[in-house]
Amino acid sequence: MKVLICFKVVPDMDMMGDWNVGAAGTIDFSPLRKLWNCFDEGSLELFLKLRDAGENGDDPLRLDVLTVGGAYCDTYLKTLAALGFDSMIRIARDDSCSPELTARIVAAFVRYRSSYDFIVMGAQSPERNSGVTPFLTAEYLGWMCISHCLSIAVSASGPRGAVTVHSHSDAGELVQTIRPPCVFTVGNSADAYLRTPTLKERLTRGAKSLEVYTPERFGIDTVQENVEMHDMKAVNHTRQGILIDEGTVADRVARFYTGYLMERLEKR
Amino acid sequence: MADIARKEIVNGLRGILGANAVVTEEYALKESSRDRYRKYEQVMGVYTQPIPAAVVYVTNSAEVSKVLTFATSNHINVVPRTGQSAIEGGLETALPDSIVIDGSSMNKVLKIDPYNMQVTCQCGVPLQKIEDTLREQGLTTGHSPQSKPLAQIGGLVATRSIGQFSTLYGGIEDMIVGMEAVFPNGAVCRIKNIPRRAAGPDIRHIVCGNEGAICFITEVTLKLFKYRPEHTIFIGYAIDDMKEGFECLREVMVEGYKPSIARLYDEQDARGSFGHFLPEGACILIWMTEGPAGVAQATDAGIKAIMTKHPRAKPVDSKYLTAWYQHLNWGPEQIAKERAEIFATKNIGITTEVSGCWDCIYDIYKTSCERIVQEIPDITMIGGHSSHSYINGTNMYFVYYYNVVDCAPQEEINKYHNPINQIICEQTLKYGGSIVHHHGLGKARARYVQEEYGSSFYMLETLKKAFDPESIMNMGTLIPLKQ
Repeated sequence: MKVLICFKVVPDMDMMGDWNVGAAGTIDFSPLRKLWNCFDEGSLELFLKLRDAGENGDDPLRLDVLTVGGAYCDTYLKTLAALGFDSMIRIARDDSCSPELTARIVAAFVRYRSSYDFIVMGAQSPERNSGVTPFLTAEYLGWMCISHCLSIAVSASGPRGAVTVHSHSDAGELVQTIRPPCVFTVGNSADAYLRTPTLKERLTRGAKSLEVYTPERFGIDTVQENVEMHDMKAVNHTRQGILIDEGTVADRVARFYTGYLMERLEKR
Repeated sequence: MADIARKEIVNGLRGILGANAVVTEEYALKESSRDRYRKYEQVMGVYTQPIPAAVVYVTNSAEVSKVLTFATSNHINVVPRTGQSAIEGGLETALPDSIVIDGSSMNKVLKIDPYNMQVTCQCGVPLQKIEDTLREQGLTTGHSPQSKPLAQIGGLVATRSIGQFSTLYGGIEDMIVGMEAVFPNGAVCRIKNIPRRAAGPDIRHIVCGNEGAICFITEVTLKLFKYRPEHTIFIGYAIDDMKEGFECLREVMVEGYKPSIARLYDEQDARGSFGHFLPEGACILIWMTEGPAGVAQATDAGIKAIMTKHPRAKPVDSKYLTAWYQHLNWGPEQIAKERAEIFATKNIGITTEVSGCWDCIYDIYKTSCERIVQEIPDITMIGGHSSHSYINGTNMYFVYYYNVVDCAPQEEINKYHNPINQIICEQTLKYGGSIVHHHGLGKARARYVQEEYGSSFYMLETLKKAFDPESIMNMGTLIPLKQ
């Protein structure tokens, strides 16, 4: 079974203050430190655990990782090499891509390699939060897409190469056996954090060379984007609130209870 | 060991303070038996230290005096605390049936005096609270440790805390004007607020840094400074190696400049916060200047002139440093996030801070890192930074992470944390540095106190015996317990 796990190195949005809109009409995230996209971190760990479980029998689990980004991603790729991933691939792109362009690049790479059974992507990333890249990738490839996966395991009863997938939907949790090919998006995986390689693992496995390609290698025109940004506005997250700060603690509790809580409790 | 039973201790305390001020719930007692030195045990929900008899919340000096007198009369170990941000075992209850005296309810700012430029606070005033209040008035204590969102005034003084702007304002010992402290015999002592005096030894230093092993601090008066963030200038350089970085720090200090921040991160420690813009393998030097506009600008110009003598150093855009600076501190959210991550990954990060003169700090740094990599299993990162510089030397703040492998939670500290601490302490002592720069000895490093003090250990031991003859004050801290 051959799996391509896509990940993204993202700005730490907890450090974001006011929007600093750059000349190209995009927000300047460059001062913010970089980290793993938390959804991708979960999917990477999910597949390491799947490999640890060793339930593939005579069908070895090959785990390749791919990111679209600048040279700053190489540190992250080396970490994944140290953790035992098989191929570390970066499609070089210094500027942030639109989800549509990213999907085109990933789909073109997958067609070029033509050997993957499954593609795994995080459900969304914090700086755009569009959540559409996996769906667009699946559409470009003509593959099905299972969204909001919680866990993925080798199918014990299904056909060879199939996986059992637990996923979330509006109606509840689905358990499905999926044959390849398929794109999975990982949402609230139980594995939220990626393990850390030791320095010795970095020195040994981490020395593995990275594969770096340009999008043009796969016939992608990065100059001509199919989606053009015209405007953006921050969502107003402010909420109206009332500060109860007069009188003793007992006075304040009484006012809170009689004014705001009692009626709601009685309605229940 | 206490002379009376656990139940009698609790009843005695209730008689002194009233039942509401005496906490005996099991979970609260267990959580009060340790601090973040045993971070892994905390995360894994394991308790290895003796559980205290009670946690008591005091509201004034008279109550502290009565509790300490009671403890002395009955030989009960007491552990003073305020903000509970300790990370070196100083808050561990090392003896059975201890009393934890919590001063966090003594949280009044007693007087802000902008004419004499001093502020008086009770011990439980959170530093964040007083700093926020002062800054609204254009003032600051100049004290800004990473623990600012958690730490309270009493604990900061008790541990000889230092802040991120120490190169300009000094450590807390340089900021203290006067104090009130209560001793084990119940004596309440006030040290008056004056600019300086030469009437014998400076007795403030019996209190400052006592780590709860000599007295309980109830009130502190600190100096104030003008707060002028509008004059702040950031200066940064990417630099190839730590040796040259230490030399740059030294040159700035020796030339007499006083930036508020003077930092040098090695490649490993820089990766997390600065890896998105630094060249691979680079270290980073950071300075921040503040004060009156002319002083800030002159300091900026002076540092940049010095750096022209280091052509390999490459300037860093200050926008990166501004973003970094705005997210330096650690509060409850960061601690909760860290705990979740440790629980999930079994990967834990710890720090140990030491200091040394300019002629040995690089050797301390280099040999400690080398030994840790060679001798400790499962290390995932070892590095560090210098963050407090002086005319004669600087500190080194080691940062290390390891995976906890094949090891019960209660064994982690002896398999990893203590052996790493031991290497750092051995290398620091070998080259003539100090094994503690600003976290305090606590119980974690008390075992090295005799080597740290040398012949002057006589003075420390005599102080402890003189003020705490019945050995009730935070036993095991500063001076290790006899096994």
